[in-house]
Amino acid sequence: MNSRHLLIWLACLGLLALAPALESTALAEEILLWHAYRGDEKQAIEQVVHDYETLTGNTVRVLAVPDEGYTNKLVTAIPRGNGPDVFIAAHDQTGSWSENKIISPLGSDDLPEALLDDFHPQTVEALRYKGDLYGLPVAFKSSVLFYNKKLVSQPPKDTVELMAMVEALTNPEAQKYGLVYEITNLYFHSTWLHGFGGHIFDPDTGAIDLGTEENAASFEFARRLSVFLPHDVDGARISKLFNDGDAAMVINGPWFMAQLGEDLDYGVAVLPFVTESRQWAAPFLTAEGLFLSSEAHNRKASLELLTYIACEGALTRATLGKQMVAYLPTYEPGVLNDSPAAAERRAVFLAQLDHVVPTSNRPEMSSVWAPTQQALRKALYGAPSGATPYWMLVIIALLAVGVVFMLKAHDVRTGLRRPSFMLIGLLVCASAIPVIWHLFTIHSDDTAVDPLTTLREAQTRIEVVQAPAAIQANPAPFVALFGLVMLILAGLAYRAYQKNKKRGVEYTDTKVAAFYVAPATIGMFTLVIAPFLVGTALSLFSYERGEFIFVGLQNFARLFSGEGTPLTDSLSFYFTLVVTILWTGLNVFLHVTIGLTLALILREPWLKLRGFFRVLLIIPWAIPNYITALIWRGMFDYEFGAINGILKNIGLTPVAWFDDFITSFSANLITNTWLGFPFMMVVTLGALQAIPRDLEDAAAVDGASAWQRFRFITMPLLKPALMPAVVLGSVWTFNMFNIIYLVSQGNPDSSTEILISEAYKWAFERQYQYGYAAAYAIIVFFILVVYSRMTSRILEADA
Amino acid sequence: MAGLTLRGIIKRYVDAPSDTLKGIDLDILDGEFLVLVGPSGCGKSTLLRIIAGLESITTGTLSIGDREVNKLHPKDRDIAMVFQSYALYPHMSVRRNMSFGLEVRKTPKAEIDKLVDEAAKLLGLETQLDKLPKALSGGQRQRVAMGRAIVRRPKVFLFDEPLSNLDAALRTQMRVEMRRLHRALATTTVYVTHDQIEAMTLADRIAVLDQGILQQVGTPMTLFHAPANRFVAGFIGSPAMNFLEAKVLSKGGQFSLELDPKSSLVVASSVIERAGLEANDTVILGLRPQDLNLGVGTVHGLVDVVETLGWESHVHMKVAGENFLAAVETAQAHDLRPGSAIQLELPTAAVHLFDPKTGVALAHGREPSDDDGSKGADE
Ligand SMILES: Nc1ncnc2c1ncn2[C@@H]1O[C@H](COP(=O)(O)OP(=O)(O)OP(=O)(O)O)[C@@H](O)[C@H]1O
Ligand SMILES: [Mg+2]
Repeated sequence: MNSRHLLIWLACLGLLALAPALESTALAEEILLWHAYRGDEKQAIEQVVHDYETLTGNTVRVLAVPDEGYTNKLVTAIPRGNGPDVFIAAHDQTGSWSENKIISPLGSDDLPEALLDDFHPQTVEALRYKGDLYGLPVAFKSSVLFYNKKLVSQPPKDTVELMAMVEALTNPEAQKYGLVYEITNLYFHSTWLHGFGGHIFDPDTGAIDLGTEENAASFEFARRLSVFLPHDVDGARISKLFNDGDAAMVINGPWFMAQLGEDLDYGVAVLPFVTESRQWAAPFLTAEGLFLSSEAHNRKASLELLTYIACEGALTRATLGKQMVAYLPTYEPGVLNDSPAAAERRAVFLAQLDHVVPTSNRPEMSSVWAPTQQALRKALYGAPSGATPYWMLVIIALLAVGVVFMLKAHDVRTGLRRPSFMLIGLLVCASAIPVIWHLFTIHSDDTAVDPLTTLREAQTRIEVVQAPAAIQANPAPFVALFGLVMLILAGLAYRAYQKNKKRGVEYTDTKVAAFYVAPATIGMFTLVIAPFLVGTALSLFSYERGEFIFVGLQNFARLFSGEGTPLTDSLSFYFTLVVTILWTGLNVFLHVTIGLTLALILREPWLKLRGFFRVLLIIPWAIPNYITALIWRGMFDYEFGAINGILKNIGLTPVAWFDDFITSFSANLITNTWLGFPFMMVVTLGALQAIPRDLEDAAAVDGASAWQRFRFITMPLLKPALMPAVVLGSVWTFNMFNIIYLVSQGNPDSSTEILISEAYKWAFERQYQYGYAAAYAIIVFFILVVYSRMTSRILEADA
Repeated sequence: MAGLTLRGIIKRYVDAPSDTLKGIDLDILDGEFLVLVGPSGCGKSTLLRIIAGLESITTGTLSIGDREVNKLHPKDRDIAMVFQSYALYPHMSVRRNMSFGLEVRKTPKAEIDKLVDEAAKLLGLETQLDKLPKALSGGQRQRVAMGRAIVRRPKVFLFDEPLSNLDAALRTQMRVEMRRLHRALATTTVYVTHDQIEAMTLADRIAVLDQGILQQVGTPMTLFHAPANRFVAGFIGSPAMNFLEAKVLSKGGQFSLELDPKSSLVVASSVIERAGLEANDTVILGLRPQDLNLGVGTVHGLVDVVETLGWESHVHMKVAGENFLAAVETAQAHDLRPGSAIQLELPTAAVHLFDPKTGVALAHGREPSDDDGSKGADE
């Protein structure tokens, strides 16, 4: 019977293992195409592929991959042979893909040279990296100026006109704006950056070159505009404002049209001439390219499909998919029969193409965005101080020590009174006051920073963020160490076995036992141990140009060196560590205090509708936390958020929540407190139920005040139930990625990042520095191990 | 030190269908030892908790001394209470359980130690002082609870069955200690018990509570000899009083009570007159098991079971079809066998007459004399 079960098990496992193999053999026969389109564009591409299949008889499998993490999926799937043969993606990753050998260049024998003349040269240029062409342009996107025809009769021709119109049309009290766009987003700011003659890469050396007068001039211009623009608007808000007629002009890309109402009477125009520099404003150009995977199974057929979609498919994509296709013959007279309005818009987008700069497709570009945007933000709205978290930690530590002293002045266990402790505690708490004062003063002089300075800072940060050249290390000592650890483990296991044997534990029926523990062991191994080992190993490697290089402890050395930046720099590991400690400590403190208070109130016999409140208060916990996080994010919105709405209504000035460390951190804290207190409340309620009411009554009769009853009776009895919850809560909070990622998004300037979200940034937003990110994760792991060991020691000592 | 005055106290718990206490009027004198008895669930603990301030008063007023305390917080009432559940603080040592009340009242450390050591000695807890409550037996815990109350020297003591978990010997010993303590401190005390002996021996006065209504308050002897109603009569005294339904017969100025056609007894006319009864009235006749003689008499009984308790025996029998208990010397019951018929003599002086409908006492065979108010020589 046992053996039969075992066989069935094994058969199942075998089938599971075979499944991928079966799948990949099936794939070999057809071409696999990935894209991230939705709606009309998806329909169009499917139509084009269908046409291609009927024409050639080849089969194409089309996979619409969700937009989120599309590039990450490509990067992970292709090297493993699970990726597409051909895929459609924006051009900006070309360099990185080329370096990581994800895509393969199109040689002159692959494509007829003349073919390229049919595409707009800017779009072809966008797909070149280090001289090689990596794809055919499918479509292009760039910002243009949208304007509401009711409010703007004639779009501004130059920046002087623009500025005058913006000023005239803006009335913040009535929530009317002359111009709305994501002003701190580099993608949109590129319009002015290039318009003022600025650049990101030095055209001659190819190096990042932010600290230029021209760039600074563009920042200065944005600062002038920012006075009239709503603060921190996102795409959804912008389309709402424009649809409602509250925004006269918007700088946005072609996708914006899909968000506009049918009956909205709007026009599009080429972005204005920059009077100051005598150049045209030039936004970033994004070219969508068709790329050939480096692992393409059937290169010839893949190329054929690629060309077909780009050229023959262009018309279908333009009409059915409403794309701005890059294939120029489509725009010859009579080919497209657009409505006059649509034709007019198409003409504008085409015209704008003469004043664009393709987003750089170099790998370094991915690390340019965040620091540059941060610099822009600083230039517009001011700079946070990097010392804030440290001061906050000092304040909290002082208060905590003071309170502990005050509590110890009357010991719970022994009843010993030490009046001197009360005095010491008060003094320690009082000593926090000057620190609070200091924190307050460094925050009150928070004004906009000179653009050139911020740009130079950004330049330095970008250089810091670049992965240092990996130095190959000798893996031998590590392998030896690993072997040693394994040997010691084996030795320990053997000793335990011998010991048990001596004690008379019999190892009969071990097969059955092994069978029973097998599922758990397999689960533990695949879900916990294996990822842990892989992560540990990864932290010893550097990932560069598609290869893992063994670097030994260099990642850790870099981490502990704090990136060579001062401690007040948010990129420093120590800065993030302090923020993480603040984050965890304050959260758990708030969760416990609020949870405990509510539990104590909910227990009161005079409270009516107790069951109702209980359910109500658990709701925040029951809703998936990312939804809550997004809702709070919306509520903290500067212009339209409920919180600022309330502040405005009661006559206070609205707060730009994500511009300053303290407010941004508070926004995260508030959100996570909202999410976290129900758990503590439920735990406390349960524990309170186990404490007989008589005990508190007895204490009351004994003469104890409410506070004394709580401190000497309720709290000590709650502690055994509460402490494990606190440990658990702190571990969760320590790694509460969602809130940081969704609410503050690390703003300002990565300063509200915690270790785990910082690790994410290193892995996915700063040139795929997987090894370095893994080193962060390992540190997080060790901190938590030490923390939980320490707390369980304390708990045991208490019991 | 202060007396307690309860005026029209009504208590209704939230969500309860009816009042738990239905109008309690009671004056407890300064220094008095009042024992509160009543069946389980009658509201004894509720009354104590109200006095302690742990339950709100629905209507009525409570005063300690001359001060109305309806709204006064328990901690400010200066009352000590021993809870039915002991309510010891599980995380504190015995010593600290006892000292906690003194500590929060800011008593100097030296005095705390002295008071706690005294109480521990009195209660035989000297060796237990450093243990946690969970390491104590039920009886020891109860003593700690007592200790916690008595170290405090409060205005009023409230004891909710403080000795219920002790063995018989310890209980007797503790009872004596209680009296001694009370004599020494003369603190106003309300003491709940189910134990007849405790009630009789400790009380200056006993208050009998049933279904939230105070049935009678009086000295132990008053309650024993002149119970105000059938409930009190049945509740006070052990074994409980026998009740028989009887008809009043009058034959030439001579009154007798007929239990059944075969059994009747002659009663003094003064008793019938006092009871305001006339011929042919129905009445409930109450008789304590100790107050009758076996062997001779005008009442017929049928022996059911004989329990021998030592020098005393309980003879369960049927009289006029009802259960009837006699407590006699074992010698008298020696040759009684189940099923044997027996004659009983019920002395007039021992009878109690109750109204069959209301249960109110109509007359007692022996009227209470003044010296019943004093306590028996129990010390
Ligand atoms: N908190 C409460 N809420 C509602 N009803 C209660 C509450 N406490 C007690 N009662 C009810 O009040 C009545 C009196 O209870 P109490 O505890 O005073 O009885 P007791 O006389 O002390 O009984 P025992 O001798 O068994 O201790 C009982 O019917 C009980 O169910
Ligand atoms: Mg009770």
